[in-house]
Amino acid sequence: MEELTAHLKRFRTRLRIIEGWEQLQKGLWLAIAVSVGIQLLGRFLPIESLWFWTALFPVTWLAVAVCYHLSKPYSLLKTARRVDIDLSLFERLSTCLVLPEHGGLFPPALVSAQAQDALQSARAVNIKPAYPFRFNRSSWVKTAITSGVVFVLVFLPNPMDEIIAGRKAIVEEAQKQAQEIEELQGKVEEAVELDPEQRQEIERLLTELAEKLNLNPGDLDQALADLSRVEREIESYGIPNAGLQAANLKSLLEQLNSLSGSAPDPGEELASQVDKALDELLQKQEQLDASERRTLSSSLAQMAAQASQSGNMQLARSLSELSQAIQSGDQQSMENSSQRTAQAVAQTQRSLQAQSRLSEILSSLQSSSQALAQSGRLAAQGPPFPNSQGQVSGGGGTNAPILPPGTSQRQASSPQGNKPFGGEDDLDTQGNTPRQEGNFVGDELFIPGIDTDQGSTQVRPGENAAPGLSNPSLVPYDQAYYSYLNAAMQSLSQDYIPENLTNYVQQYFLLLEPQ
Amino acid sequence: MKNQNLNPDEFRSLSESIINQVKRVIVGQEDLIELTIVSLLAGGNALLEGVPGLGKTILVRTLAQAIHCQFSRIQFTPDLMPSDIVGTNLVVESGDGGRQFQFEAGPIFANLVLADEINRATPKTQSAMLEAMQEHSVTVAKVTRPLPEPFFVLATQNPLEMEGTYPLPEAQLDRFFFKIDVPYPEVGELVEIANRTTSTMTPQANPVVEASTVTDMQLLARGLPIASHVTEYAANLVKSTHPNTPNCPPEVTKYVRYGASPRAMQAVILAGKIFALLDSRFNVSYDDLRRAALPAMRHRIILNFEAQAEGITTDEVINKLLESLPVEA
Repeated sequence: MEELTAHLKRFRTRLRIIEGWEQLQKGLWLAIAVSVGIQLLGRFLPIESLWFWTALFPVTWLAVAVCYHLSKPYSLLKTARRVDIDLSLFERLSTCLVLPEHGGLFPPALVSAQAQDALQSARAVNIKPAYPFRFNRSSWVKTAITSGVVFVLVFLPNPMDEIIAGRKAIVEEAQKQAQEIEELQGKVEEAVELDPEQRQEIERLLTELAEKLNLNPGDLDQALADLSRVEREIESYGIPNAGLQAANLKSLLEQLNSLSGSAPDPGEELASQVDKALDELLQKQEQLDASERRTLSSSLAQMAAQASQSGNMQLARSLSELSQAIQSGDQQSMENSSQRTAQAVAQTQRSLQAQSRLSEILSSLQSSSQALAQSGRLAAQGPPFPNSQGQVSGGGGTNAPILPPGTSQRQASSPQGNKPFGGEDDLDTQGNTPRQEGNFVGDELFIPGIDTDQGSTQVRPGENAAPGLSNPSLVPYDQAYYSYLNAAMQSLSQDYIPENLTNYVQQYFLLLEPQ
Repeated sequence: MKNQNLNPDEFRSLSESIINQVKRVIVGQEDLIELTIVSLLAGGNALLEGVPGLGKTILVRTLAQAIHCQFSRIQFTPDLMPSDIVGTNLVVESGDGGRQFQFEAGPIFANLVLADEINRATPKTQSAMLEAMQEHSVTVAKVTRPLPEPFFVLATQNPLEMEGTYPLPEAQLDRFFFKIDVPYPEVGELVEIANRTTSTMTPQANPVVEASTVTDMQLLARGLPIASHVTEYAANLVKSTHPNTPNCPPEVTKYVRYGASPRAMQAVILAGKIFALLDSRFNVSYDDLRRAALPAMRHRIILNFEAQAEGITTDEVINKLLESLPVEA
């Protein structure tokens, strides 16, 4: 029996191999056909690591088939019955194997003779010729055909590759921006100008944003929307008309210096200078006659009006009280209102400093948005083209992708035509210049239109659709802006200008306000 | 055990000797000869169906000569009485002038009995004959008398002349181990028959075994090992002849009224054992069972009216059954 068992184990091993081989022949082409299906699917859907998925099924199938055939339950009785049938041994082996289970049902002499007969049969079997490796030609032909199709599909250009590369670029860029946002968190921690609560909230927002960007699967719209939402929330902590208020403070100082006759001290803080100018003004007003007091009072009232227009109601109220106190000649009131004015100026200055910090944060976020938008556009359009040649089929407007609502950074890439990216005159770069809500400076170029096949957009080299915006500026914009604003405010206070035009000028400067 | 004196090789050798002796007289009909000897060695009785003149009587007589056994032939007719077969008590005078009953054994008291045209006798007579076949004994006047061993009945019936016959009921048919169809000889065989029977030299069979040897051979055959899965196959085979069995072939469902009885399974296995021994093997194989299926089951399956109307035979149903019941590892 032991010898027969040894023979049967040998048969079993051979049977496992042969059955595995036959299974391989029969099923390999089917597994490769699935790979063909995956390759075809990869031409309609962007599938990352398409090669991996293509190879995965046949390799997994092979591994499973091999493991299954090598480890599947294969009893000796089953082996014996299989060998009996395959080699026409007339149930010799299987009978010999099960006879001991029957006890004394059969005469021992016959059982023994049967065992000898079975053993003799098992010995006579030459296992390799008995179970040869047979080649199933039709199966191999199918395998060859399907393999050929897979190779052809693999080496043919896949339109989905660009989309996948784009997504990858976006993911990389998002992770890079997430890292920068994490660095920005450090700066926020050090920003003592901000309220602790504001700081904590901004840090939380930035942490969440960094996490979302890190987890972004390559969805540009989602990344920009996340950034935009955080931007909006941070913007909500700022003060409205900050630029106007800053300009108003400067204008106030200049006017107070002019009225008090004190000289400006650039090294000193603006609040101290205002405080000093007010002190000098109070001293000076004692020597003024009634007419001069009225003039001074009127000037202060105008300053109050300007402060009111800039939205700084506290300053406007204190200036108005000072104006009334000067006109009434109440010394105590003048001192009190002067003190309140100085406090309001100091408060405004602190607020403006905090606003400046917020602006820096927003600027960083907007830079991130810009970088992401840029990477998305590069991915969508592929490598940069040579300098613009002029015509781009615009379809009666632009086919620029419009970002979803809530995305503050909208870009218009296509209308620029074949312009090189990243250049100074790149409109998109300008279009994504950091901005504040409602300002036109640095706003995007967004030309609404319907994407049709008609029409064209003329673009000439060296020019862009918004002349002047990209010209290099020798004077910082905010400096120039405030100079003009100051002059305008002076004109408004000193000259007669109709009220409707006054409002128009104020609105104009409001729109031009820098960050 | 008696068969300890006999080994499988001797079994085969003796069987071949018997077959060769029969073949000296019977021309062709190899299946008939083999199946008849299988029935004999299995201890069963065979029903031969064939037209007259095909050598059925010669076969039994030759077989009796080959195994050196007592042979008798009973021609069944409607007026045949049971006592004509089993024997009767006769009043005889004893030496002292007295009278006594003496049992006069009938022709059934032989080793090999040819029941010729058994379907021509009345059911009562058939029943007496079949009881003797089953019990290997007869009871006359409350005295049971054993029949000589080995006891082998070879009954014949003519499938053509059915008028005035009493067809064997299913229960009686079931007692036959095999039902063997006797085919008409081929031309070559007919020529040989003519040569042998129309000359002065009539071939005779020589005795090659004793009756006791046949009994030993029967015992040896019964002791041959059979694996449980092979027995299970036989059981499935018989079970599948029943139309209400799940997974039975559609032919069975359509044409069979009653399937084979457990005796069919016994016959298939016993015959399989003989076939295995004749093939010099010490175990029964699936092929042995499949080979025995037709003669063992063809008279045990009762077809319905639809089958009779369409001319379907039990052999066709059994062949379909064998096709639908493949051997699996």
